[in-house]
Amino acid sequence: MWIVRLVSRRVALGVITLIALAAAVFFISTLVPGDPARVAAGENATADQIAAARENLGLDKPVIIQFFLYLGRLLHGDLGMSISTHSPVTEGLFDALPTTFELVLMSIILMLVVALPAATIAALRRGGAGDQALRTSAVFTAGIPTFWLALLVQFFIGGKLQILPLSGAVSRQYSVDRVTGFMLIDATISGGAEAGWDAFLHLLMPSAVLAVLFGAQLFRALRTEIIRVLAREHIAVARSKGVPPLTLVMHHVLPNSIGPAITILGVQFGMMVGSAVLVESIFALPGLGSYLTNAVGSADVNALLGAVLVTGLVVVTASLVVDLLQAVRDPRVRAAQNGGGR
Amino acid sequence: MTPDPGTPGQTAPGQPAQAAPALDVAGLCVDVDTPAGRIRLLDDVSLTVRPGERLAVVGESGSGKSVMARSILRLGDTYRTTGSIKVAGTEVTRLSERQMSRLRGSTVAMVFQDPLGALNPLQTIGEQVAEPLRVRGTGRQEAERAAAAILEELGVARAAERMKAYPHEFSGGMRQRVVLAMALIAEPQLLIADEPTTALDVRVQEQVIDLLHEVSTERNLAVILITHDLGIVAGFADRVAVMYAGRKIQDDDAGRLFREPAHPYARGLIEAVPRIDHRIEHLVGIPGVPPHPGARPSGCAYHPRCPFRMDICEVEVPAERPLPSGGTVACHLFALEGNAS
Repeated sequence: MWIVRLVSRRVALGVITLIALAAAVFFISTLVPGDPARVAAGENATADQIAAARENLGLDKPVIIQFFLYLGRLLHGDLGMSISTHSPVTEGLFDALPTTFELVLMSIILMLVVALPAATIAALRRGGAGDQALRTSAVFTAGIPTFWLALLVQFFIGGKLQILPLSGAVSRQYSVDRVTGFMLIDATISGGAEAGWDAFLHLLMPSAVLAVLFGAQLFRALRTEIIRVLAREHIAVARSKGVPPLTLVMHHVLPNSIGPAITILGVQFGMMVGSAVLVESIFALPGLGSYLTNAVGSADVNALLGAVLVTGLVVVTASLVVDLLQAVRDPRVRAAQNGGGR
Repeated sequence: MTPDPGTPGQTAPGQPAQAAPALDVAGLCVDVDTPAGRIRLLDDVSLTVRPGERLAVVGESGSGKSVMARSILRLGDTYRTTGSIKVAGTEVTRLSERQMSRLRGSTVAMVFQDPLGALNPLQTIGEQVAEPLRVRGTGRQEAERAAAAILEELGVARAAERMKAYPHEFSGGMRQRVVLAMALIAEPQLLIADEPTTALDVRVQEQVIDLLHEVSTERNLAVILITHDLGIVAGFADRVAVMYAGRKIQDDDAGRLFREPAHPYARGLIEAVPRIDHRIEHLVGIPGVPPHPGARPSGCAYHPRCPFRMDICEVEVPAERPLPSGGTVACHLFALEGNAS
């Protein structure tokens, strides 16, 4: 069965990738100036207290031993204690991750909703005025730095025009209990549709900022591929069979064109989690980005490692999902997974 | 049997739909706009195909054979077409795009060169064969039954089972049968086969041509076979049209064309076919190459390569003239003969 082969192969590969990633980040972090023991002991600690903290954290052992001890704890799902917040790293990440996922997923939805029809229209009317306009704006938006765009829309749309809320995840008037960690869902549970809508409005601007940058790339890849597919003979054949235009696009053109887009989205997913760092801090969203920024700021090695590993896990998972989607889409990929050659 | 010749100006009663030719092309010109300017791909082509007739259209690449096929189905989006194309009595040049897609598949269908490229790699064989019926509102089960039936008829064994397979799981010959099934399922009156055997190996070529002949006879289906391979034309076609540089230069009964080709180009083509019953020292060819559509010679486009070239050939485009055999030819040689006799 292709799905078992594919998943087991990719999971094994993913574990190796993550261990390598952990090693890289761990050893680099030991080279970073700053003493975690001093941070852990607090600002006014005596030399004895610092030494105690060092022993307590295992920092007196050789680096290689420290790494294996870390890996051993990792196997039990223990990412250690955050040195700055004195709470388990897993807990902090568990709090932060849903916010980031919500942001990134919302961006991807926005990207697809805009890029898919836009690319289809541009490709069908290739060389026309609409195509030119769309291509120009894609080049333009891809060149805008995220943080600048974020500040700009925050200033104009949130500040001057006051169409959308400036920042935060939800308005203060709603008290939201944490159930899933996803603000859209939690707000709806706690405060009904009205609070859910409020959370949606808060999410709209940051996710749109993220979507603009990555969506341009997606649009261009889709447009190129749709043009390529339109020239293929089976499209002419489908037309000669009497398939009307809309059915042609939905059944023949798009399914054959979205392959590269799925791959790109998989790669972008990891990059978007990275870019979310900036967007989250500008829009004051309590996500992975804020968590990572904090960790770096306070030389919190465990928190930093945890955040990077989780990001790595997201990237590995995203690429697995990409491969699964491609296999579902294309019978030839499934055949190759089954060792059927061709 | 013989229609009464004594009723002028009126169609014979009782057979109005039958009387309409499967295809009636008159004065068809096709141009495309390129960065280098407008290029004429097809120049004043007229052609008639009777219901059930098998016509072969032959010519070198670039002669406009495929352009003609695509313009009949209006598949060339960049084509600027003038002239008249009537498919089973319907003028297709005036149809809206929606009317045109209804006509495609059910009145006129097409089979393409590369059977793998002609199939959507992501859909099952069954879905694709049933599609011409599905887009016309036939229910899924009924369309699938019809698809299985036609695949079986065209020689796909265990059709109902193999409909769940994907194109990459089929062999070249089987794929071409699938492509043919897609073209025939909505029961068109005219089938255009554009080089349907070029991508196949010789044994499979034969099978596909035989199959085409068979379905044409059984269904009284008019077939236009577009090919550059005269070898497959002989046993298949009733009539042959020879194309050169965007024009039809001869149109004749298949047997007569092979026995006594009138146009010098047709003569060259037929002499160039190697024959198994003739010992030959070397392959005969036509000297020179066919002209690029953007740079066609003046007058008769064949004149630079023609061994019988006259002064008039460089200046004047020869008109189509009837041959004593019943066909037509576009060559100044025959204007002279006509004047002389």
